[in-house]
Amino acid sequence: MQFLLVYIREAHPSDERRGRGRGRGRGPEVKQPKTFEERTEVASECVENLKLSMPAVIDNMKNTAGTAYAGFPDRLFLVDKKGKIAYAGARGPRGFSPEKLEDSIKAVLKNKGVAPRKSTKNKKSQGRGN
Amino acid sequence: MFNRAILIGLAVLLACVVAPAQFRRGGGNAPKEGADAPDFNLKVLKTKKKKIKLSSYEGKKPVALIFGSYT
Repeated sequence: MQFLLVYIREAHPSDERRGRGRGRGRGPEVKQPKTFEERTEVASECVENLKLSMPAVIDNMKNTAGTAYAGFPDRLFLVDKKGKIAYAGARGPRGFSPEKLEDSIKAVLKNKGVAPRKSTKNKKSQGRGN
Repeated sequence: MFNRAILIGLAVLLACVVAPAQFRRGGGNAPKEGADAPDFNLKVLKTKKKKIKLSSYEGKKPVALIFGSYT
């Protein structure tokens, strides 16, 4: 099992309008990085201060990964051994559910690293919020 | 003429109500369960390995992706 942090553009930077919203004051004061070097610096600070032990990759300035996964502002996914999406979390922060990810990881590991087939009934209920 | 007005009305409704609702849920472009995971090849922070290509894990092990930022 591999865990990978994908560092994407800042959700509540101090120099953008949305940074003045509800999230402000509860987190660090960080400006939106304008260059990849700046983004790398903020990502380093984030990983160090939060003491994250998993490897972190940094999205490029075109936000390729963030866009491909609609990862902004935060979101969880599980990719199985076949390269298929086994769990697609809803948009964070409301849809950010480590518990659901954990359940999916357990199910996938139990099934030799591959997402188990789901019944049509389950698929319908999981279609919401993605 | 009447049909055209209905069509324009529907387009406006879609743009004003449905599309923003999709955006709020962030559901527009997120890959669905069962779909191929979009590949990426991104620079790794502070390791000897320069880049990680998601598809390099294929056939080896599952990968949990945590998208997020500092703020």
